Amino acid sequence: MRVTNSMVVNQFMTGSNKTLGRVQDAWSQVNSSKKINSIADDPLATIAALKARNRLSSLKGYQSTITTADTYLTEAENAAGGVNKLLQSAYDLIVSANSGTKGEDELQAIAGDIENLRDELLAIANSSIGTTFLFGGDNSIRQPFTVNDAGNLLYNGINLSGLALGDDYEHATADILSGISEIGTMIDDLDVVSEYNAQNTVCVGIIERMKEIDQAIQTAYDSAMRYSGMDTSYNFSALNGLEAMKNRINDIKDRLFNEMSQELYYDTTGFDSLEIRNGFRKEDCKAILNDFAALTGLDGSGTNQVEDALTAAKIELPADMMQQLSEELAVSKQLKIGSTAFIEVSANGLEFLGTGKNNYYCMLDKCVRVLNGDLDLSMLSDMVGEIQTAMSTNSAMRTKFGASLERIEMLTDRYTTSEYTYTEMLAEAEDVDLAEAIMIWKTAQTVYDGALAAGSKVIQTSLLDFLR
Amino acid sequence: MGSTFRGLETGKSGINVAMLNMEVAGQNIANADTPGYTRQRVIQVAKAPPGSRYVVSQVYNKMAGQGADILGIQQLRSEYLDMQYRNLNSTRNYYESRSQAMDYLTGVLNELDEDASISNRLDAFASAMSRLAEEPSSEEYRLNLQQSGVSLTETIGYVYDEMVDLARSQAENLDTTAQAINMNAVKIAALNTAIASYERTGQSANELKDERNLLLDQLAGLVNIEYKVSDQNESMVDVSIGGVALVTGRDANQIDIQPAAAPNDITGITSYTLTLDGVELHSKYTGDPADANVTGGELFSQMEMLENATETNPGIPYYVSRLDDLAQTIAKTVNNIHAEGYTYPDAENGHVSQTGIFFFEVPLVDSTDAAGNVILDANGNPVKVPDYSQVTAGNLSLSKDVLSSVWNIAASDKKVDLNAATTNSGNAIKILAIQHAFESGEVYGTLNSFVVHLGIAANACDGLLHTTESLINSVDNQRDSISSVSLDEEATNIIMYKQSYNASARVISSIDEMLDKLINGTGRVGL
Repeated sequence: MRVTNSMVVNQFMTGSNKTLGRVQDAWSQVNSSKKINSIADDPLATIAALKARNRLSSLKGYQSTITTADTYLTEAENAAGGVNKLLQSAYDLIVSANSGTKGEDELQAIAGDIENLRDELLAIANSSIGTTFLFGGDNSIRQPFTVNDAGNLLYNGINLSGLALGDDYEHATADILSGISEIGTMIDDLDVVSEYNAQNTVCVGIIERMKEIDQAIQTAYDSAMRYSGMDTSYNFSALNGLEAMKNRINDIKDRLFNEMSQELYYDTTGFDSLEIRNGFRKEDCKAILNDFAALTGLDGSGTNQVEDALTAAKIELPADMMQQLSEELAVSKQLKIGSTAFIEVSANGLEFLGTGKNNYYCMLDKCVRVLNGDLDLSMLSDMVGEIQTAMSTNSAMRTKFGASLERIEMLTDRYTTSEYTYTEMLAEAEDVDLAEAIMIWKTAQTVYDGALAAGSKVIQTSLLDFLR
Repeated sequence: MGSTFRGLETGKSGINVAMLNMEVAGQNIANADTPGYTRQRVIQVAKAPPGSRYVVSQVYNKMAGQGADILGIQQLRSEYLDMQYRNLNSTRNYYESRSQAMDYLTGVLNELDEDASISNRLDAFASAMSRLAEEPSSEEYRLNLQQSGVSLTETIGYVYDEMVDLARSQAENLDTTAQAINMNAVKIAALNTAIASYERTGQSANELKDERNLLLDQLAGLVNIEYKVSDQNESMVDVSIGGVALVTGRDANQIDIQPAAAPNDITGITSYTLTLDGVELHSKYTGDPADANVTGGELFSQMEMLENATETNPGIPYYVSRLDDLAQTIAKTVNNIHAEGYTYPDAENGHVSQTGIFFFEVPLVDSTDAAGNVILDANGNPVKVPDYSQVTAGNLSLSKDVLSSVWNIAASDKKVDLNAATTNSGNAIKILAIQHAFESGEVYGTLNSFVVHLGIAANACDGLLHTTESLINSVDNQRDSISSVSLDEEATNIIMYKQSYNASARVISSIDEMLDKLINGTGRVGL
């Protein structure tokens, strides 16, 4: 092949261009410490880098959310712990009040202590983080728990005291109805047993039940009475019916008691210490009890006047409030802490303080009222059990927060590992091994220098240089 | 018997030939680096002895020739390599022009940039949602989400604007290329005329031919051409584009450049309609692919960039529509859930918690059933539905509602009610749902596949450009091997011509001496 000068020059130019291009590529890798500087450099590495970067960015987001979740949960756990201590103190106070050894002044003092605990509970339930209330459900504007002038507890406008009263009323109703059916069984027993002493025992039992019913009606009445002050739509006149029933049952009880007392050997002030020596007329008792049966539908008439009266005076909260209650119960504050992982970072106020008669505040409030003498002191022993239940519910809530905290701690660990993995993936996709890059650059530079040196020698000589 | 002075004539012819050879060598050396220059060579032959038609002589075959004669000056050039070079030049320029455009696109869509990329804006948007979910009634977080939304739309809008800008500059380039073709055509026609008139008078037009060849090389880079020796005159060359005559002998047709009847429906850029000799010059992307006459060169690359909306060798419309896809996916993903949520009542939005608010602006159209009838609501009004096909990367923006007040961001899945009795300041369920849909949905996939497609296309184009360049280099090398000047060769020739000049001169002086002897030295015996 014929070789001409322009060929040599062209080839030299092409070659040195290529070599210089390699030097530039190598140098830009060293300079930017990136393998790929444009998406066209290596589309596959680009996509790997994009994916890794994408994952890293979401990880960063999740990690930041986890920090927030951690704050919430720690606060919530602390609050639950505070409630626990508070309930413990209340429990101790009520147990000591219930010992029966305390005088009225002492009971008053305990009432004052419990009142303080109750208000402290309210403060804990209203605790907030920044501008958000920890247990406010979807309310972050106003304190979720408020006590109105009448001393009723409201949660986002829901009357929790009213709910507790309604719950009390319902329980009392259930007690009354079961008491009545028990009395029905006992009346039947009265016909079966012929023994005088046995009949006596049955009658005493009936009187006992009637007393319980009387007390339950009183509870229902008290609850309804108190509730009537909160709800103007409440059918106040129904209370009269309830009172009438109470009186009639009381009357029957008294008559039965008198009937049996006629035969008493001696009289005492208390019914409990009665000692019956002589017989009484079963027929007379039956006659009195027939009145009871007629009143309560035990005679087969099908109309239970007591139940009707109870139903008429039933505590029913407004339907829209009940609707709101079911909505508020469903509220849960969740945060996204993973591509598919969500975490509940708090509880709503209803979960946290309980609803109905299991609401801690209402429970303590009731204790105060019992101790103040607004309610029967005998209810105190029931309260001991209720506070115990409250304490275990509260512990469960605390455990739930603790478990969530553990979960996010685990996630934090996992995300730290993931972060490392994805950073490595990103580095592999787009970062250069600097040592290698510098070596490649040096090599390219050397090749280029060589090409230039050789080329400059070749292209500047021609035959003419050697002619004279 | 020959003439007395014939030897002198022979010597003179030798000198003349050597002289001309020397001049041609000088011309070659002077033009060693002139672009397009083809080395020349003197065609010389030995002159036969004087004809026998004057004298019938028995010594005829004892006569020497009459020296050297010059037939002409020849160019050393391969037509075959020229054709090869021009075809390759068409392809090379196509890839080069395309590669420049693709480089620009990859530069605009540089997702590897950690600060200004669309991915980065998407991440910021998602993270703003996650912040807001932590505290849905916070004005700061709402503002943050609103602003990252704005920034996202601006970034996408910026990429869109740059792409449209590229389309605009491609249209301008198309105009320039067409004008360059016109100019080349005029020049070739003028050269045709000049070469023909030179050659008609028997003169050499080698330098003009070089110039014409160079113009043909350049023209082939601009657009695919066919050329042949003209039927009218073999000194001339006819050139056509896809069968449409551009240069016919002395006449050059001109491409008529008119703005296109309608703008491109994706980029909105008005290109140019090129008409040559009454025939429209078009690529396979507009009009019938069967009679597409533009298939190579810069012109084709520009047409492709301006018009191709398909996935193979895509042009700007394709990438703009991919970007539109992304904008639509973002708008749809966010809006669908956002419209179900409730806004936060504030003085700014008249204290109402509304639902059905869109985050991104989308035009509403009447909805139609399968038969195409407009669906009416209970009041007899047409039911309006959002039409995302009208959303583009260029017009993607936050809705007027969200722009006017950050409280119109619908984060809650329940009506927000700040009434004192039943306070419900809203939750973050909807914003979480949007974030989830945004992160796990098609948004990132749409962007990534778009980026990869562009990356691969640009990468492939660069690769093809390199291949074509090395091919063209090798053809150019072969051409140089035949046509370009070798200084060593010329230097050697110069020595040869110089010596042959000297020798011819010596012949003349020798004959002179001989004649001197004959004329002045004879007849003087005894003097």
